[in-house]
Amino acid sequence: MSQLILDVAHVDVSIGKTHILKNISFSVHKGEVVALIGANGAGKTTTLETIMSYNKVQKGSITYQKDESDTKIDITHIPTEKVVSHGISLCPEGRQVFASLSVAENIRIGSYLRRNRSEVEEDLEYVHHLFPILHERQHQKAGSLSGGEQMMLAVARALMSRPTLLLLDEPSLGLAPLFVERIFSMLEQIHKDGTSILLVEQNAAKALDIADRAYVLEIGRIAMSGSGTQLKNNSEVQKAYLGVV
Amino acid sequence: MYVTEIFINGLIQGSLYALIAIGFTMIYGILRLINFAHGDVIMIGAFINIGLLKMSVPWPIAIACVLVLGAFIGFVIDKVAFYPMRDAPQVTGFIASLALSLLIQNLGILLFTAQPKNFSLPDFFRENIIVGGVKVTFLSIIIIFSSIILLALLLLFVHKTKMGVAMRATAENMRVARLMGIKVNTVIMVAFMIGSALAAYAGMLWGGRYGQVDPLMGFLPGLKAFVAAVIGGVGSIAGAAIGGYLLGFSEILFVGLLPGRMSGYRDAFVFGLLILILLFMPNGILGKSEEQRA
Amino acid sequence: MRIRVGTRKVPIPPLFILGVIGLIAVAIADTLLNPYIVSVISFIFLYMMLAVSLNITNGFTGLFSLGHPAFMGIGGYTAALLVFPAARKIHLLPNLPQWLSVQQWPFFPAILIGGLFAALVAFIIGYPVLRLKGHYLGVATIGTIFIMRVVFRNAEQFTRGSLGLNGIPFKSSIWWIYLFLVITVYVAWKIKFSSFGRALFAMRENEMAASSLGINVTSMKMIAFVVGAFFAGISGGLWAHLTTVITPDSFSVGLAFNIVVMVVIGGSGSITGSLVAAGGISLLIEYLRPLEEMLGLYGLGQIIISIALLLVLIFRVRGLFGTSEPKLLRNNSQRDIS
Repeated sequence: MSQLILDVAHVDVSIGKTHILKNISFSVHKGEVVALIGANGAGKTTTLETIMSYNKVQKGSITYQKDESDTKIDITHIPTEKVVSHGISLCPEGRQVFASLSVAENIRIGSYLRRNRSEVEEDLEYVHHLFPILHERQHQKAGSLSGGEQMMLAVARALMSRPTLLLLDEPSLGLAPLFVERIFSMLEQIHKDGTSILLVEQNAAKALDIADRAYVLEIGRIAMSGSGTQLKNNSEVQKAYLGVV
Repeated sequence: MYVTEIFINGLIQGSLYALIAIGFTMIYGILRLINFAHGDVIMIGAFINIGLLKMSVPWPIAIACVLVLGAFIGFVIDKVAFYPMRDAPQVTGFIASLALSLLIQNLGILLFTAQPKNFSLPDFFRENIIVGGVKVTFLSIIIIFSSIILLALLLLFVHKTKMGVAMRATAENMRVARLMGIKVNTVIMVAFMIGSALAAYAGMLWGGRYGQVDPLMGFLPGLKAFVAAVIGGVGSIAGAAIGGYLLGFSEILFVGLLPGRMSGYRDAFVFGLLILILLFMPNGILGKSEEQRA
Repeated sequence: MRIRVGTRKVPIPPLFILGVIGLIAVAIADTLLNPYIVSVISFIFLYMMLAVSLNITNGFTGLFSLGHPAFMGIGGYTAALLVFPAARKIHLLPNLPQWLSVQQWPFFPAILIGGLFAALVAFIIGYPVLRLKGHYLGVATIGTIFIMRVVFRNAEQFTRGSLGLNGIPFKSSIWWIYLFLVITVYVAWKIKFSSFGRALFAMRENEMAASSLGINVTSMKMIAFVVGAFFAGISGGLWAHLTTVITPDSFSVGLAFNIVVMVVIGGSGSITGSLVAAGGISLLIEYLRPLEEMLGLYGLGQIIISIALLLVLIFRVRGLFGTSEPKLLRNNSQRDIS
């Protein structure tokens, strides 16, 4: 197994009085696509938001190691900006592009923390290559884009921080099936180009298709884990999440 | 000639309101909070100006001082009153900023008494040129042109610089702005500093134009500038400027065109206008509709 | 405590006992204390009235109205105009319409008319203004203070403009004020512990949910607003006849703020809270007033109040009593709203 980049260990999260995540443990290795599937309300979004430090962790730890040569960093209690600066980027649920900013401004703001201009230009090239339509529409206000285009913009924006680990919260949500196909094939491409991915999805079939490994989240607990194929062939998973009767 | 006079006065009053309204709208755009203390920064700027005059500071330096001190005051207001209220509901923030406003006003009364103080700028500000048959003082020219320049600089800042775009992103969606690595607290602080610097500068000009200062002088202009921001669309800087000029012109027209008896109703007119706009055109002219006002 | 009525034992409402104690205290004060202190107590009672009536609008219903001073002004001018002896009216306000300058009303009805007129104005402006929410309603109500100020300043026929009216007969004895305070508290209490009051609190919690339960949100808001304005108008009339002077600037944003502070510190929604906080804060104001003059430290009281409010908002937003009333004062049938 390649190097561990994200290690979530025995994490407990409560929001207000509700105990949402209970003793969650999972990991992501370099070069992997890991999927987190589960029903609505299982805690998938909370998990991603916790990694990004939107929520306070009551118990447990989250550690991150960008590269074998880097040190392991404890990111459990650091502010969101710092998490981003370490190389983790989140493409949030519902896309949430900055509607009043132009497409180009949206993409650029993804590189907010970066200092090296030539590298930023490289990544801009890459993103325009992945999503040519964004280059076409670069001066339009992001709010005027279609749902699928906004999804591409959100991913492009998240890629601009040159993350080692890309988090995606329900990328297929609200998209026409054609776009869902497109997005997932782009995620495959991004994965091939070297970015590790942690994916949260209600569309379990699609997620398990591209995942190397996956976890099943049920009411705040990890109920199952295994390789993508293993879970796909698991009868319980099939019944609960894949619509197999 | 009368028309020219009205036009120029409207431009002057509009410039003052625009400078103040911009600060309101920047804070509102990001925090969704009405900052009552903003009006009192006007007063602080005016008093600082008097102090500088007494020390015979040359006027370009005085302007720089007022801008810097104004920014500092903004920084303090943010840290003391708004930062602790970050997660509080809208109405709590409202009362808090009203409390802060009264606090500042009464500190002024404590230090300077409520009596208005008259003063005059050095003579050279009253030198004038004739435009279209109307005497326009040097001060008026400064007011009109410096406002335009500052406005242009600000728009440039907000569209072309990294911090400026970060500010617009934060105003639209604070949570996602954080995901970009933007330090939201820093953005808010910068917004307060810029807005307050402009308000203090406006206070300096206001005091100079009307020749009088008192600790309560900022509250009403501040509220009216808020009306201007609403007219232009809260959250939009260009909108605040437009709203400011519109309000300035409307006030001057109201007083200039209506029979003398009615000019006392000018303030009522402004607030009546506010209520109408809030009811029928809550997004103003350029504003973005995100929340419910009515 | 129970007393015998006929053959049954009936519980005496604790509030009634409190009211009687208050009455005795007033009697003692009036006979024993010097007039200055009696007038200070009168002011304290007025502030209590104002806080409780604002609580009906803001605390119970969750509206955010800063408009009380505007209604006080309406009530004050109206009552003063009615109570002024006809001769003085003709002297002071020569341009007053005939039918008005011959009026000379006794105190009690004049005060009531002042309140009613304020309620009427509240009714008229309530229609547009109450459609606004949150801090926009707050700003709109501040606007009404300024609008009314301008009206008073310019309707010189009726108000003598900026000069205001002076020499208003001193009619607000501590007894009258206490009477109106008792009425205000009684009405507020009755509202709070009725199904109407419960609906108001439900609305405050969550307006959308309340309206989906069939509560007519618009008319409820209007009633709360108008009732609050009525009592504010009455307070204005009492105020004018206590200070014997009324000007367009008598009732300002600063006053509105102080009443809000009393409601917030006492606990938004708690009548007891409003009474206690109003008592404490107005005591502070009245105590500091001569001190400020003596030491030349004007504005000190207001600074203290502002800081106190900021501290309460940061550290204990629910204030002293939250939304509840102490158990001691409640009947068995009056369950707490929390």
